[in-house]
Amino acid sequence: MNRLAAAQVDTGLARGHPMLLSVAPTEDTTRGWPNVPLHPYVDWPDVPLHTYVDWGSKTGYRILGGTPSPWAVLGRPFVHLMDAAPAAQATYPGTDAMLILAAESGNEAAFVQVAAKIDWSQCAPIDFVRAVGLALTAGAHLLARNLASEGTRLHSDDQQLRKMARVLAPPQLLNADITPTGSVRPNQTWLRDNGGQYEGQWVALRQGTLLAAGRTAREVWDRLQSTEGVMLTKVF
Amino acid sequence: MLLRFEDDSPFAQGACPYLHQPVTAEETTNRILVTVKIEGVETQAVVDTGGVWLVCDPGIAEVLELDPEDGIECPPLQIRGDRVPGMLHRLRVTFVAEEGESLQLQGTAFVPESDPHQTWPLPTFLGFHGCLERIRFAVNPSTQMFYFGPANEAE
Repeated sequence: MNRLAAAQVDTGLARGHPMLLSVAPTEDTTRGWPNVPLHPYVDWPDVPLHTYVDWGSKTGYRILGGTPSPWAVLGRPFVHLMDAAPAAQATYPGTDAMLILAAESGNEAAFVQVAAKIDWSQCAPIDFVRAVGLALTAGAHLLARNLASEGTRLHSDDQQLRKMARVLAPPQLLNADITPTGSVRPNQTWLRDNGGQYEGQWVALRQGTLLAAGRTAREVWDRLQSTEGVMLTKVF
Repeated sequence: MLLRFEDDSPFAQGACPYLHQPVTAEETTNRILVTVKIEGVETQAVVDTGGVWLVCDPGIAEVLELDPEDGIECPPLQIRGDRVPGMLHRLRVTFVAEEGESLQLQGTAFVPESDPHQTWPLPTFLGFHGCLERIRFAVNPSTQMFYFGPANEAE
């Protein structure tokens, strides 16, 4: 782990090595962006971070580099630059900032790695809610589900967490003995034979018979006298 | 005929024919379009094993009159290279059988934000994570049949 003050830093790692940045929350950040007089330039490996991330009320840092530019312009005087390789044994302070960074860069692997270092049993409901959102941003969908579930287990009275856990839960089988229908094939035959004339439109079909067609699903649906046995579909 | 394991237990409980065709005017790759019911509204959806969740066409969502209070905010989802804003809901999906029995599950659905000035250009997708992950399914390209059945909890 290297601390950056206001200078170019040799990370000691090969170019292309995965890395993460984290703000040190205990440092004096009063000279933070945008008034920081010094803009240290850091040789930035090929991590596609190119976003401005807010952290705290007035603090934050701007990363102008990333792919394809190898440079990052850091707008804060004190940050930590860390090895994010799976084999790294370092401890990671500032995990909140690292979660945000990993999420904003869509780096699912880094996000999962950082999240694994957090003691979630000590986290408040709001931490779980925020982490679920960040996990979804990172594309870590399974972790988002697990965090929502774990958060609900620990904080069962939190309504927002309960809703998240319900929506993100694994698919649940409801009914496995519903009688079959004979309308699928006639409708598909109609679409195969006549779809070309209605491409891009919505149609309502029943047993292979066109009931209505229109520009929107709502428009077609509202025109039906009965929706029983109707297939509503866009024509491709 | 429905599929069975060696011990004669069923792999699939239902089967339905599917369409095999492109789903946008710009593409030529054929997709598997199956008939499903989303909260009771029968429609077509593309089997997308590389995708996540049920991505519900906003046109269908509008017909369903989903309550935003029942959903959760979701960061934009990457769909075919675009970052699409939307919400996540919990919806019932029924795989409609022509042979055997239909199967209904409840899964996670992403509903893209509806743009009143623009029609959603894509179909409804059945993604793996959050939707297909708890069912067995198989495809017979010769007969264009899609087979489905519930996965055992232990699997």
